[in-house]
Amino acid sequence: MGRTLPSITQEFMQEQEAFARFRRALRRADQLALDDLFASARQHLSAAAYAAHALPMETFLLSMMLEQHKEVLRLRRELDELRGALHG
Amino acid sequence: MDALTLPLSNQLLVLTAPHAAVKLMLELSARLALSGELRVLDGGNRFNVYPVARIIRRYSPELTRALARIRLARAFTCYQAAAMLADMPAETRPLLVIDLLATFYDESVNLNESRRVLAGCIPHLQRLSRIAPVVVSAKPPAPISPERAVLAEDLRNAAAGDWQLETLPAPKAATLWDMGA
Repeated sequence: MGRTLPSITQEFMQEQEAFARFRRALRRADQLALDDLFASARQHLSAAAYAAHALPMETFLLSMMLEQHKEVLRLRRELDELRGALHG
Repeated sequence: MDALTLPLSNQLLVLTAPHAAVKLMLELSARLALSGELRVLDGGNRFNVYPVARIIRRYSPELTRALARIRLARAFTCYQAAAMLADMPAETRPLLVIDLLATFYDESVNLNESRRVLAGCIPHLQRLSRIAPVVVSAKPPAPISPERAVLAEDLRNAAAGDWQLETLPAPKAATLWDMGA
C-alpha cells in the first residue's frame, strides 16, 4: 500500500515544471527572478503540507507573497534606520 | 475524446487505454462532481485529488462542496475490489471504477484465481449499471505477462459499451524543410 496522494514536494515540482515554457520565454534576468520566487515558496513546503489545501498552488503563491512581504518589511526597517541616522 | 461528450446512460462502459485512461477518468469525476454525487472505486491507487480540484475550480468556486460529492474507495487487492463491489448498494449515483484490473494483474495471484475473482465482480458491475451509469477503466497487462490480457477481454465482453483508447504519436515539430515542401 503506497501513498494515496503525491507528496507536497512532488506537487511543487510538477507545478514548477508546468511553468517551464513560461520560464523559457522570459529574459534571463526574469528567469532568475522567477527561480527566486519558486525558491522562496520551497522554504514553506512543510507548512504547505500541513495546510493540506486542495489547490496547493494557492499555498505556494501565498508562500511567495509571504517572502516578498518579509523583504518589504526588512527594507522598510532599514530605510527607517537610515532616515533616523540621517536626521539624528 | 472529450469527457464532456462521454455518453453516461445506465450501462456498463469499459475504457481500455494505457495508464487506464486516468486523466480522462479524473476529468470525468470532476465534471460529474460539479453536478451531483458520484462514487469512485480506485483499483490502482491512481485517484489524485489535485488535478480533480483544479478542474472543479476552473468551473465553480464551490470547490469543497463539489469535492465532498465524491465518495472514494480504494482497493489494494483484487479480493478487496471484489468485496467492495459486492457490498456496494445499487444507487442512482454514477460509479467510476478507475484501473479495475491493476490488482488482478498482480503476479502473486495466479491467473485462474484472478479470472475467478473477476468473474465474480462482473455481475455486480452489471447489477450496479442497471440503475446508474458505470464507467470502468482498465489498462492492458504489462508486456512481461501477456497471458493476463484475457482479463481485459473478459471485462470488455461483459460491457455494453467498449472503448479502446490509444495514445497518439507525439506531434512532430515542423522544420524549415517541411514548410518548403
